[in-house]
Amino acid sequence: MSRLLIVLACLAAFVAAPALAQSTPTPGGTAIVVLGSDPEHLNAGISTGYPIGAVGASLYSALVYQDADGVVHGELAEGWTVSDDNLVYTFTLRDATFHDGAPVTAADVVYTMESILGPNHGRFQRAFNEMASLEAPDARTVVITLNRPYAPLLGLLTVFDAPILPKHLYEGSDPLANPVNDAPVGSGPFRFVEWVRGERVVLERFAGYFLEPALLDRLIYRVVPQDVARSTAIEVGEADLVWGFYMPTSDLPRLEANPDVAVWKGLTIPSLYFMFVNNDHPQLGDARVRQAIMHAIDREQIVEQAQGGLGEVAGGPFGAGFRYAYSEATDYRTLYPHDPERARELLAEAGVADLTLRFVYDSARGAFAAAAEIMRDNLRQVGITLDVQPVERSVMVERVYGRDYDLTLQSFTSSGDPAIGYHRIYLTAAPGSNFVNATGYANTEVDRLLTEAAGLADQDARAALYAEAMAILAADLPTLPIFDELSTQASTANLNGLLQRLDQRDGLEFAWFGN
Amino acid sequence: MAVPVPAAARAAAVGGLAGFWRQFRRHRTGVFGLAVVVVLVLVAVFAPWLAPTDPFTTSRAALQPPGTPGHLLGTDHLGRDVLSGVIWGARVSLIVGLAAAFTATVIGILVGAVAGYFGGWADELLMRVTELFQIIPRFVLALIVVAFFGSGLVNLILVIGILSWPQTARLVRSQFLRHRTLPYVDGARVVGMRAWRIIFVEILPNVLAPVIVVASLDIAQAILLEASLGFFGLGDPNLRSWGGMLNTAQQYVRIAWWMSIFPGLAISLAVLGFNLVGDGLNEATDPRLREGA
Repeated sequence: MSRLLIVLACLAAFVAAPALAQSTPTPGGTAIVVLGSDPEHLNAGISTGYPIGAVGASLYSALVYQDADGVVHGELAEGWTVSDDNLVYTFTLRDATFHDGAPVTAADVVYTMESILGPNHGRFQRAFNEMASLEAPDARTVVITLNRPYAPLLGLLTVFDAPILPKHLYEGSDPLANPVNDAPVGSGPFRFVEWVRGERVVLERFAGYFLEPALLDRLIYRVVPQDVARSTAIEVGEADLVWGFYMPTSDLPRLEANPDVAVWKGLTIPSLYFMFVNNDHPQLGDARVRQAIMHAIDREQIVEQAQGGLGEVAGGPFGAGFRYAYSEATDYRTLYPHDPERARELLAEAGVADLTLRFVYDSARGAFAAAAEIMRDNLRQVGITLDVQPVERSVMVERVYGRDYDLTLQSFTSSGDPAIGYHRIYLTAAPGSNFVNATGYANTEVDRLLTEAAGLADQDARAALYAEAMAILAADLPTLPIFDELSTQASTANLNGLLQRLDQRDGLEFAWFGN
Repeated sequence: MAVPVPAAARAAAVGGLAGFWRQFRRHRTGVFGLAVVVVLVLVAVFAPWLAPTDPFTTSRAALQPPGTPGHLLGTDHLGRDVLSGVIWGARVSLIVGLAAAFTATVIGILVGAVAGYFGGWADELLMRVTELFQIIPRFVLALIVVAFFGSGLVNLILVIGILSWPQTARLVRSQFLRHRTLPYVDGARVVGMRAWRIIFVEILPNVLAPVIVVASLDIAQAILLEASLGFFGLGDPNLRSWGGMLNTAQQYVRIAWWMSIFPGLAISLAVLGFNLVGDGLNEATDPRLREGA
């Protein structure tokens, strides 16, 4: 037994050794990151804008961060405890300092949340609305008390939703007009050096960072407004990193063919594309008809052609972006593979023939138009005719949420936690309320399971509830998830250590140049 | 009823269809245009038999270049056959072109005849309305109306028709202004013929020739407008049209030129064909341009 262990250990060392030799992080160097537009200011606490978040991620720190798998870890918080009723979260802070040398205290955290984030930050407000009180009993302790159990709280305390700002520089001023917004002071791995408007933001390594110091000497965020110029910049070596958000997807194949460029595709912030089915429709109310449609649609073709390959066929009602909200037992790819023959059988069983369905979607979404054409062809093969109706967004919202449709394509994101964006797709909802479940599906058991899961801080306990809910949803199929959107990025091949965090913009302190 | 008929109309009547054809075929470009139009009509009518596949059939073989076996003109981003799309698109273009031009011509005749025959305040009012329609940027208004009311085939026809009648109206009005004082019209009035009979039975047949010329040019314009709307994503979403094909081809123009070239060529040819026919008709029916009249 012990001999086996030794052999295994040797084997492991043998396998790991060359990898380690190649990947010893070396400090130094300047990385140039592409931004598509100039940030309006650099206060990530009052804006959810993409470029501000990008610079903010390196400049500020927050109570917690999410690793590449979406698991929450402490950042400014050394740790936290949750009361048994899931209502009181107590955070203990590390010894950290702002870039101007002042210590980061519990008072900074409470002030930032109450006076800056609460009134001004679009996403943090969701968490703020659930808070009954925010207290700093001493300099190292922050206590958040909730009105009701709300598990997404932790996912809303990251640097993108709750960057901690220095109270001593903001107190008594209007946070929207404070000059510090243009020469920011945070407590993150990089400190502010200069901002040439419309051109670049320059940051440098902050030696006093409270965690492992950054490897790069400098980070330059360069503003490149033209799509084409961004991919060119990385090809000619004028930039080191471009995120998918700014990437012209049509240039990806060219970048992939370039040995000096590393292209990555993967799931980061989950974004699910799915089809609402109007369950009030006389035929679509039958689960067998919905299952038939799922079998009829070639989701792989949709990912390949409508999404340019940047997707992953959805494996369940919450996609595959959250490990604890995915169950292999009810994977839709195994339960409902593309199978027109099975679809025809199910339709025959349900006694449905010659069905014409109105297919409504937002005409501004190019990927939807392409997907609609593929679905038209797919469904025609099983005897369902689509009357495709691309409409202007406001008309789409009115029709879909007023339930004046048969089928529709939608996309929802759920950054940080499935309860933030995905629960609403399945929870019972009254007609007329926007951006919720517009299928008319109402299942009290699903409602109970999801609501309970949203209150649990413990992910294993949540996973058990989700598995139960997913078993019901997999059979009822009120909504047909089509695919999870993949994020991309292109970087200089010798830039290592990227993608350590859930959001690509985060974790650049781990980046380093190899050779 | 023996009412004097103007010389030009009489000459055309005497010459008959054979005489007209003799005049028309002297204009080679007009004959070429007619050939294009005839081919277009045949393609549209026989689309189901001519097209290798159904226009909506997708496949995993996307962006195949022209010459690929089974896809003479290649495939688009969803693996649909481009040739089949071009063939079926002829139907959409032709239906919209003909129906919209017909709508425009009917409206134009009604407005122009009433304004020209009655004159006075009716003329004033109708001509101001006509001018209003003339100064409105057609394409922009069509864009807005279609975006608002939806882009079904019937909507497209009505919108394009309703925006295209002013030229016909002005032409018909000027013809009626001239004809209403001619002796044959006076004669008709003297024998107690009702106004609407004089307009439609007596005068209209005599002014139809230039109206038909304008109508054939209207067809070309309607085809172009439908294609433009389709290019902006406002074609009938349940039909495959040339404009719609161009719309999706935009983002593939660098890697799949065949997606835009062939529908583009089809549009150009169709518009050219109807324009040339219009020119030919114009020359064949205008006595001043006619040889030996």
